[in-house]
Amino acid sequence: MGDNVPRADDYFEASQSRFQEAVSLYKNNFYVGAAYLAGCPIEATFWAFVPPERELGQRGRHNLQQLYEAGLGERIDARYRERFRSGASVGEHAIKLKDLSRQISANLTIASTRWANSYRYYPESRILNIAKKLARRKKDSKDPLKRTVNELLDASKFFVGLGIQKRAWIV
Amino acid sequence: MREQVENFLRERFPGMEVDLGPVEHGSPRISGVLIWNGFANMDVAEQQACVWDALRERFGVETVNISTLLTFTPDEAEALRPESWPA
Repeated sequence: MGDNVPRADDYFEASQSRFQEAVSLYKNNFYVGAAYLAGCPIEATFWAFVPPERELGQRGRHNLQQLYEAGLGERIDARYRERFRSGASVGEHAIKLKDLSRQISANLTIASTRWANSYRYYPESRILNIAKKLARRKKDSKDPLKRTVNELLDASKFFVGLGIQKRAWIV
Repeated sequence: MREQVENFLRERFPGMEVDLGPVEHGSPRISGVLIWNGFANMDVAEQQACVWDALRERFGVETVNISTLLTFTPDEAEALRPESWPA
C-alpha cells in the first residue's frame, strides 16, 4: 500500500483529531468551519472499516450511509449472526441489535441532513440557509446554525465512539 | 423480506417514498431511505421511533435483518440531491 493511501489507524487518528478541532471551532463560534469539520470524523470512522478492495464509486465515497454499510455495518451484522449461530438468545440479541440500528439510523439521518463533503466549498449564507430549513419548530429557530452544528457534533461523537468500541473487529 | 418491508411501510405510512436500494453482495441486510411528509413535525428521534416501533410490531425478531433507515422530509430529500448542490 502506498504512503499516500490512508490505513485504518490513520483514519482512527484523523477522526479523533478532526473531532477535537471541530469542537474547538464550535466553542470559539466558528460555526461554518465547524459545520464542515464535524462531519469529517464520521467519514473517517466509516472508512477505517471499509475493506481496501471494496469498490464504492465516486458518489459512494462520500455517502455516509453507503460507507457505513460497506464496512462497519457489515461487521456489526456478521458479529451478531455469529452469536445467533453459537446459540445465544436470538430474541435478546435481536432487541440489542434493533436498538443499535435505530440509534445508528437516527445519527446517520442527522449527519446526512447536516453535512456533505461539498460543505467545504459552501459560503456561510448557504450553510445558514440549510440550518434554517432544518429548524422545524419555533424553539429550534433561535441560532439555527449553532444548533445544527451542535447536533452534528453529537452525531460525530456517537460514531467516533462506536468506531473506537468496534476497532478490534478490523482485520 | 425486502419486498414485505417495502409494502408494509407504504401501507402503514401512506404517501411514504420507500427506497431500500439494491441488494449488496447477496446480503440479507436491508437499508435505505424513507421520505415522508408525516416526518415534518417530528424530530429525528421521533421519526425513527415511529418507523422502528411499527417494524418491530409487524416483523418481530426478523427486524434484525434491517440495518439502517434514514428518515427525511420531502424538503430535506430535495436539498440532498446532488443537482441542487453548487457547481
